[in-house]
Amino acid sequence: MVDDSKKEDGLEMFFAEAQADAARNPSNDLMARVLADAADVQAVSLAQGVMVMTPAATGGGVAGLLSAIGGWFGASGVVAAGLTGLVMGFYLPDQIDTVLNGQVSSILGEDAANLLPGFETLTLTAMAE
Amino acid sequence: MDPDIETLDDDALMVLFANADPSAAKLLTTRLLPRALGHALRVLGNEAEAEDVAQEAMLKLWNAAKDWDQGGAARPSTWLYRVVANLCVDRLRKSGRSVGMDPDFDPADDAPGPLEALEHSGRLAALDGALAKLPERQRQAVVLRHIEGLSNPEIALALDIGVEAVESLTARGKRALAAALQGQKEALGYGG
Repeated sequence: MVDDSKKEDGLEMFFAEAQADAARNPSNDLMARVLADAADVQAVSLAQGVMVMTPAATGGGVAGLLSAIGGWFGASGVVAAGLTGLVMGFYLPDQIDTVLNGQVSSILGEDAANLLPGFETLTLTAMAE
Repeated sequence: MDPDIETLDDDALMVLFANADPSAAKLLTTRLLPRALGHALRVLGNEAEAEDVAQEAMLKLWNAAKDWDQGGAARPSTWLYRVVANLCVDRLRKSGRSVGMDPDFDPADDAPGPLEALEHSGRLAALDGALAKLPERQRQAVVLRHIEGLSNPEIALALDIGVEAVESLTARGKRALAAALQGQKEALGYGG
C-alpha cells in the first residue's frame, strides 16, 4: 500500500517554507508607481465631482467619524441621490456655516447627532462648479 | 496615518478610497500588493512581468473602488487574486507559455549567508521548479491553496471555476509535486 502520508508530509514541509515566503516585499519603485496610480484615480474622481471627504486636521477620532459617515450614507441615501460637487470639510470652527441651510439635519432628522458625532461642528460647503 | 484607520477591514478601506482618502490607498497597498506580487511571481517566474501584473491588478482595484459592494461575496484580497490570476494567464498565453517559468529565474539567486538560509532557498527553488512544470491552472490552484492559504470557495471565486474543479486541480497538482519532490527531500535537508 502506498504510504500517502509521507508524501503529504514532504509536501507540507515545502509548503510551510513557501508560506513564509509567500508575500514579496515590493520595491520602493513599485510601491511608488502603485500609489501614483491610486492618486491619479482619486484625482479623476475629484475632477468628476464625486463626493470628497477630508478628515479633521485636529481632534476627534477618525474611526468614529468614518463609521458615522458610513451610517450617514446608508441613512440619508445621499449617494443614491447622486449628489455631486459636494465637499464636506470637517473643521472645528468657532461657528457653524451651514451653506445648505440645515439640509443635513433635515436629511438625518433627529438622528443627526447620533449618526454624526461632533455634528455641531460639521461644516458643509457646496463646491461651486 | 490615523491609527483608527488601521483597524478597518479592506472592504471599508475600499469605500474610503472611493471617497478620496489617501491613507486608505497607502494601507490597501501595504496589505494587498505583497501577496499580489508574490502570487504573480510564482506563476510567471519573472520579476519584471510580475511587477507589471501586480501594478496593473492594483490599478483595476482602484478603478473598482467606486462601485465596490461592501457586503459582496468577494473580499478585496480574493478579488485581487482573481485579477492577478487572469492577468497571468493572459501573459502566459500571449508569450506561448502554458507551463514553465523563465529558465533564468532563480529565487535563490540573492540568498545570502548561513547554511540554513541556503537550505531554505534551495527548498524554495526546488518547489518553484516543480511548480513550474505543472499546467498553469493546477499551479495557480496549488499555490493559492497551500501557499497563499485561500479556502476552496475563495479559490473558486478567484479562478472563476467551481469548488469541485478546485479540489480536482489541487489534488492532481499535489500528486505531481509529490512525485517530483519525493526524491529530493533528503538532499534538501528533509531527510529521515
